[in-house]
Amino acid sequence: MHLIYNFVAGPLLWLTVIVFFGGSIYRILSILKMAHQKDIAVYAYFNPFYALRSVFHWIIPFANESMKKHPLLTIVSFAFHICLFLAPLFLFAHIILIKQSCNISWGYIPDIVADIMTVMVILSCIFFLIRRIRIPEIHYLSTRSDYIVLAIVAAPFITGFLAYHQWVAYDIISILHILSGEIMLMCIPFTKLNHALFFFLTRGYMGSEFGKVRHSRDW
Amino acid sequence: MKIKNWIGIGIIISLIFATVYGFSQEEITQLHDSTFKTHIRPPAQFAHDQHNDTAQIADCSTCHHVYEHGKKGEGESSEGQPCSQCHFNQDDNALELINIYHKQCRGCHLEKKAGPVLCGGCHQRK
Amino acid sequence: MYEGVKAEADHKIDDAGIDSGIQALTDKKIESVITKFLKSETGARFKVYTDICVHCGLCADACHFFLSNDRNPKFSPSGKVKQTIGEIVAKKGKVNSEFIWKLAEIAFTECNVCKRCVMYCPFGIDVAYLMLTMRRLCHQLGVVPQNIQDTAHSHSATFNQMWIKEDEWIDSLQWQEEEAREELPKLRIPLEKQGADIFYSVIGPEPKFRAQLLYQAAVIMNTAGVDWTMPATPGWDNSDMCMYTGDYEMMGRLKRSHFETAMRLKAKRIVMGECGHAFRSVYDVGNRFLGWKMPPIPITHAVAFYHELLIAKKIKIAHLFEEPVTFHDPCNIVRGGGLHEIAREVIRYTCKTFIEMIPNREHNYCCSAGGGLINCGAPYKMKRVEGNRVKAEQLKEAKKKGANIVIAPCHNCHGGLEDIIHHYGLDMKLKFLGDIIYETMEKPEDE
Repeated sequence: MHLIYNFVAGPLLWLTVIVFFGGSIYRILSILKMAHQKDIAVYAYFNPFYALRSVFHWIIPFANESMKKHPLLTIVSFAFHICLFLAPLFLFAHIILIKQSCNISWGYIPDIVADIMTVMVILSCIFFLIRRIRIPEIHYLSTRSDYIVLAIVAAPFITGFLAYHQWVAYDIISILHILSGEIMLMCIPFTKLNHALFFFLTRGYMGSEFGKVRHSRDW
Repeated sequence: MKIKNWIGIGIIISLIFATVYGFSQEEITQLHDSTFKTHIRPPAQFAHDQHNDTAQIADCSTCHHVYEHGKKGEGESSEGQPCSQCHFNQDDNALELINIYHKQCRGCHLEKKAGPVLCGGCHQRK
Repeated sequence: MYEGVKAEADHKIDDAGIDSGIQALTDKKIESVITKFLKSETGARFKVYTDICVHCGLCADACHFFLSNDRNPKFSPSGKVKQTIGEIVAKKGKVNSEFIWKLAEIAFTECNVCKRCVMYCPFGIDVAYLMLTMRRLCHQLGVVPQNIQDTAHSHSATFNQMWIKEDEWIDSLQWQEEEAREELPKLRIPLEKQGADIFYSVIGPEPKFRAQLLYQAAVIMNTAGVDWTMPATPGWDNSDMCMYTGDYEMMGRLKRSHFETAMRLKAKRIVMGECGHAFRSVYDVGNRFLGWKMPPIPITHAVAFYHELLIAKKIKIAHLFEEPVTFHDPCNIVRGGGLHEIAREVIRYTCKTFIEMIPNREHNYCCSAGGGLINCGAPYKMKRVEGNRVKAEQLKEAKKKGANIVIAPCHNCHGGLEDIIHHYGLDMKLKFLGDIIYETMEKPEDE
């Protein structure tokens, strides 16, 4: 157990940090460079004011027509993304581990709140899965990778939930929890999860085009 | 006999038991520090004697250390003192005290490659 | 609810242009063209857009083709991307001519590049841009629907859309001037005037089919007393089907000729007739191809120009338009130019009763004729009209509320809506904003 733990919490963790941060920076920089070489218009028309105006309309629930058309999806998506970020970042157990290894810490949320958030993430993933299977236009678009990515995101939360409650095979579940969290982070720059990196760029660019050039809304 | 008398005898008996129980050297099975006002996780399971047998720790000061001016005092030990006596003052938050507990136990487990290192290894939900 | 994608057979519509283009292709040639295309013509936007789409399906509800085809997933914006770009990228260009046929049909006849879906995608993925890159690829493969390619040929031979010769153009203007002088004896259509305030440009179909629009424009200009001119040389046509066939080099030549003609006449600005795609071409796409961030000469669309004239009281309204009207927001001047509020103000100045269509403004449904679809001609007419049942329903709702007149300040919209109104038996009348102004304005008394 110590051997496996030391591996997933040692070299593999470092690899994750390098792949996640390095990969994200590489992806963003290479796209910015590519835009400079082949899509210079993106820079020419980018406008911070209109970019932010658009971003705000898409990170506030129901601030655009698309979200108003799909109220349930909007609520689930927002709950999912908020919990996805807040639960791991402010989980007490994570704070303790970071405190012990790096001697830095920040606020944490009560465990019961984190527990509820985790359940919300898992339920949201199930909702997304059902939606993907049941709604024809989404089913038509779905590829194997869409399902895998969904599983990659759900895995750290399912294992985290099980590990917290210590119901079954605690040691194995905990190791799987660390491992799946690392896999998820490493996948962000190189799978569809990269929308986390590029959302602000694409939304901002479209906001600039619609706002500055076309004098119209894009929400 | 009246009910009142029964109650009186009951109180006396329980007081006697409580006194005997209190003075006997209880075996330590968990770390329960009353400095913590609330407990986020269940107290760490820790069978003192069994742990020291398994880990072959004879010197009390291995854990019950005394530091003076950043140096570990030779031959000195601090049994009977709660950790919080030195490691916790009003300026610090509970996180600091939690952290030194973890450093003490988990740090050693990691170093010796023995004993629990995952949260639930010590903080067991029964 | 649509059921079963695979059950439905792929319809192949006979098109001489696509057919002959396909005949000339081999698998090897297709692969080499695609490889070169992906390397030289696609960049960061193409990469990011195709990379980050999480297949959430939110774009589907934005598309009139999807909604009108019983929610057939193949017609959703991302469904079209999957069938085209998805295949090309996955197979690295190793596709056959059968696929190219499908590619051309989807890119040219199943997407109006109206950009409505951009407003429904959380990431702002520009599917219209992606479909236009596919048209560009089709152009490089030489596989373009016959009718729109013919229009592009006309552009390259005559610099106008309708094979109109130089003398025919001048003749049409003089004919309309003569006609209009019956009404306003002092009226002129000033040709080749140097240094005028306004260079007025129109699209090819105006002299060809809708000459009364030139007449009306002349009446409005003369009544308002503006200093204007039109050229007697090529460069008068601001339309641009090359933008839609993917022939960007020719698009560049067209726009250059249009801008340079205005510059040669030292005009202060260009005012253009009521056209949507031409506005997109001169204001947004064509100028960029030529390296101008914004048009080198200020561009005013007719809708904004009418608004200006009304505000400045250069045009006075004698009597309000009696019948209740509704307004169709053309994609290219609303999502492409933000003229929706100004257009409504013009309507309030001129009409008694205005009934909104729902949805409206930036969220209005496309007419399904834009993006070159109507120019792909008869073979695709039913696909286009039946692919826009939602527009018919939207119009029907407006009619129920009492509107029998549809104002659409765009030529393509007129064509598209006319077909829809006829096909669905809606019995509504279409008008340009210019028609309304011409009918309601105060005209100078005969002397």
